[in-house]
Amino acid sequence: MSYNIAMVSDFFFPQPGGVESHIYQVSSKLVDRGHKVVIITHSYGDRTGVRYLANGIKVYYVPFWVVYRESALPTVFSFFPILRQIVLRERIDIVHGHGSLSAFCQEGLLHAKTMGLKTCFTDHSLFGFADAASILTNKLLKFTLSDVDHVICVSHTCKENTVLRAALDPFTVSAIPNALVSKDFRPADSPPPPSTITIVVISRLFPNKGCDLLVATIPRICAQHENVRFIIGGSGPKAIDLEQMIEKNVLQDRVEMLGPIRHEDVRNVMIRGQIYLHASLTEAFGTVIVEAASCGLYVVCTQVGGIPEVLPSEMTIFAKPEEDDLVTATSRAIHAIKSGTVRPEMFHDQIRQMYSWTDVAERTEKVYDGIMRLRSSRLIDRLKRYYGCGVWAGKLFVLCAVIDYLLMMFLEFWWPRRNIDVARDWPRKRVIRKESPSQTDAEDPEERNGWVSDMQDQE
Amino acid sequence: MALTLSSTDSPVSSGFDRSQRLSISSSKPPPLSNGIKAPDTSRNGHLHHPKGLKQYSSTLLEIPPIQPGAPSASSRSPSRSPKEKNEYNLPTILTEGPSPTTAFSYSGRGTIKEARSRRRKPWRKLMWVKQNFPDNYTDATFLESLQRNVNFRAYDFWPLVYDTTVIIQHLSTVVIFVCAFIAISVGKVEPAYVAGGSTILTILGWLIWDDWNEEEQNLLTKAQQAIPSISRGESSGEEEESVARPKKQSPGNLGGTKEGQDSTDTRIRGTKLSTARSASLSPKKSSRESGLRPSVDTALSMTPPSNLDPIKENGQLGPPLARSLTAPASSSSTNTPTRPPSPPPPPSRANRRLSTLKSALLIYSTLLGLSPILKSLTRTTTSDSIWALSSWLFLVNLLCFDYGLSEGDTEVKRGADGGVLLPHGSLGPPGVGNSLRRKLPTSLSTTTALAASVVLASRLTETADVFSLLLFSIQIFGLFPLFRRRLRHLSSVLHVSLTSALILFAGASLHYVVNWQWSMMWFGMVLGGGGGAAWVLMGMQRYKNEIRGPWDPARPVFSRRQWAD
Repeated sequence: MSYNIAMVSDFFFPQPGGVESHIYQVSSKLVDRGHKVVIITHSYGDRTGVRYLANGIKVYYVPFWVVYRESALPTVFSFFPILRQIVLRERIDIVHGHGSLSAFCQEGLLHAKTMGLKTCFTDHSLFGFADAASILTNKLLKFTLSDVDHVICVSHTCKENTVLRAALDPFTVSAIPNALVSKDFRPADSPPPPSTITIVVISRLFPNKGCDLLVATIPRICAQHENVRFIIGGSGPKAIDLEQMIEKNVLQDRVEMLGPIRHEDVRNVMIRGQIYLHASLTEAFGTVIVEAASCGLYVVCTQVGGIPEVLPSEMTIFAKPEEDDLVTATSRAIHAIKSGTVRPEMFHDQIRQMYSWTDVAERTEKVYDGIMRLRSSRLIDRLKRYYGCGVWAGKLFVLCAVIDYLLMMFLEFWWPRRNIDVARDWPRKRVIRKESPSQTDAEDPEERNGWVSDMQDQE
Repeated sequence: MALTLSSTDSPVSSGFDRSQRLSISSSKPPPLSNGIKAPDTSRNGHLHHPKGLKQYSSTLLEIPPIQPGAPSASSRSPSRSPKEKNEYNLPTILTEGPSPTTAFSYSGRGTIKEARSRRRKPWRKLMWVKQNFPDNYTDATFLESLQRNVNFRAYDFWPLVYDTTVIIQHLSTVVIFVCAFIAISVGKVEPAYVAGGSTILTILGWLIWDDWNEEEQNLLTKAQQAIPSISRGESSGEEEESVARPKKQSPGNLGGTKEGQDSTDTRIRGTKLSTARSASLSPKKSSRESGLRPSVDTALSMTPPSNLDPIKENGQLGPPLARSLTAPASSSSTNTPTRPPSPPPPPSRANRRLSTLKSALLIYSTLLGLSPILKSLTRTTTSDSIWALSSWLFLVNLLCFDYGLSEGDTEVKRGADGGVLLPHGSLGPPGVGNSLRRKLPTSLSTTTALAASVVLASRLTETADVFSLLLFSIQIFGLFPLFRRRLRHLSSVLHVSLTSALILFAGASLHYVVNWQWSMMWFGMVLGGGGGAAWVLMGMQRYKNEIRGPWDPARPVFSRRQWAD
């Protein structure tokens, strides 16, 4: 049984990021498993129209007005006509949205439901309940997710959060982790000498990534330990604070700031160190610490969000998000590295067993199997669900759903199905569905790492 | 795949829709968490929800009975009726690996317990380990770390009303001022009476203020004599303060004290020097930092007290006093004369009074000179604009005023802990307008009030009228808030009586200047604002539903207080 899947999200290549690579990798592995995947995103600069990525993944870059940080303007209905065209052309069965801040994803889920398709949603981030942005997003999420067939979250903490935010039944929510291409994160061939301990920090330098903690702890660690150096990669508004910290404490020769790092260079930076320090204050999954452990680094991280679920305790030292505790934890890590009680170079093989995109794709496929067996709900049932979303919001949502339905009727009349060409499929792969546990990435001969240059549409 | 649902006779009803789920899951976590935390239920792995959550138990379908190969199923449908469940195939989400194959009709705890016991490894909340559970498995520990209304504190009526008195006080002063303006402008009251009366009251208030200062000083010195170590910690902070103002500090003294410290304790030398060095770069920050650094304090406590006596005397008597005096004078230019040039003699009371008198005279004469100019400043603007402008300015003044409840509370706490803790507020004596000068909103509120009075003054005809109104406004908006704040921290009885006096006076002046209806309205507003608002707030409190959990951004804890600010 193979499905035609449309991944809908605002966030996709050429923009770098966790959601983007997640979509690409899962799509690629799903194609390997015999499904057809198209990705629908908004246009990036002059990158509009249809493009092909490696493995025959077709990407639709829909021209759309981008408002903020590559998120499309949330218009409730304007995406419907073109989505309907794509869905009909590609004979889509399942619409899979990614990222709760993506207006494309939210709209796509609503319209797909109106068209009677199966929907799935993957949540990649944690949200609070207090600030205005979260409240708005949560309300919107409640609207779109109240009718979605299944939700995937990247960690159990993320699942708890999403269930609360969107008032979902926890049994419709699966926790499927992110993964990494472990081939790209091999440890160094010759590990750096233990005489100088190098601590690596790679993160976007934003307040929620715990940069204030870094600013407070780095001088103290440098003062306590003689042969410790820091490498800080990433950019952001907090970079200036770190630079000030370096200058104030005269640490220029011990703390190196690299600026922004491309994802493919992350490994080259990581293997220069023995310890990875992650001081984030909130994290849904924390792919970067998995990457660090895979590169053979001992991980010191704050115990927040989904981080405690991600790595086994022998690879990590957890700290409370407090200055003193972080200093103590880092010192413990330095001592452990110096005395050789941990063997970080062994981490790579363990990580390879734990996380692979093939496994993620397999589990996602199981979700698809499940939702394809669901009966698509009648309009009146959907309206009932929307109505329950809130006293005022519920009525508004019902109105939106009804208008969406009428819009679909109009489109059927104006642009009948039979006049829409069906796109020719990329030749499908032989279905390789195994019952056995997944192959790991490195063994996969079809492995493609990263983005492969795209080709123009040949149709 | 059919499911033998014994849940058809379970309380799941067909009308159970999303809204109910929403209300249950969001508004009733306590039963949920309680149920989970009960030991027997958690062992069973069965979500036992006493009241509203039985529906979940009906959806705890992990193992479909017939398909042995497909180990578990998930039903996503508390929203669908049981009838539907029987009719249509339910979604299954398959797991990998072996699983219990025996069919069991899931009918409550017993069977699930069996099933769980057959699974050897319990579910763990981990992503890195491949577990023998479906991905959508929801454990009994689900949402265990959810916390609701962590900082919940039930309000009491009278404390709330008491808290509103601060706002009412300020409202009354505004009302009194506006009444004074109207009275002067329509000629109901001789302007000299307004200015004179308020000046007499101000002088009275200042005498009381001076008395408080004196008491505080005595308390401080007593505390220092009693506990030398703390006084030294305080003095170090003050010493840094004096470093922060190098031009007012005689350099010889500064060097001398530092030398003495250096010779006594080598350990503190590094820190001391570094703070001194950074003080030259960023005086404010370093003074704060060093005042709060515990190591310096403790290190200092080892030094013999004789070394530090001069600093103590100078440091701790000088600056706070200067501040407490300059604050009411609302002019920093008087700072210099109050400060004794040489450390040993503490400024006498007479000295301080003299300096205050000086600054008061300065303001008085400035105002006198400016009055004719201010009178004609906005003369050409139409009255309509003046009314609108002054209304807005007073509104801004009301909104931006530093009612300072929280800060006041901490200060009160400090004071209540006795003289021992008093020196910790080494940035100034407690209750004095110290925070007042640091924060922008307060100065904004004062400025807007003065601007409003200047604007209003242009509607007056005589220069004497303008002068009296402006003098009155400076006294009532510049000095009176400081007095009120300090009084509130010292005695709640006096605070309440002052409030009532103000309310009555505002009402009376409204009655006198406008008419009795306005006066009644004022009293009604005070009652509604004080009692009614408190009552409404208490009523609203039961809707409070604050959720916290591991997904919230952690609040980083820093060991130095400079970050906590």
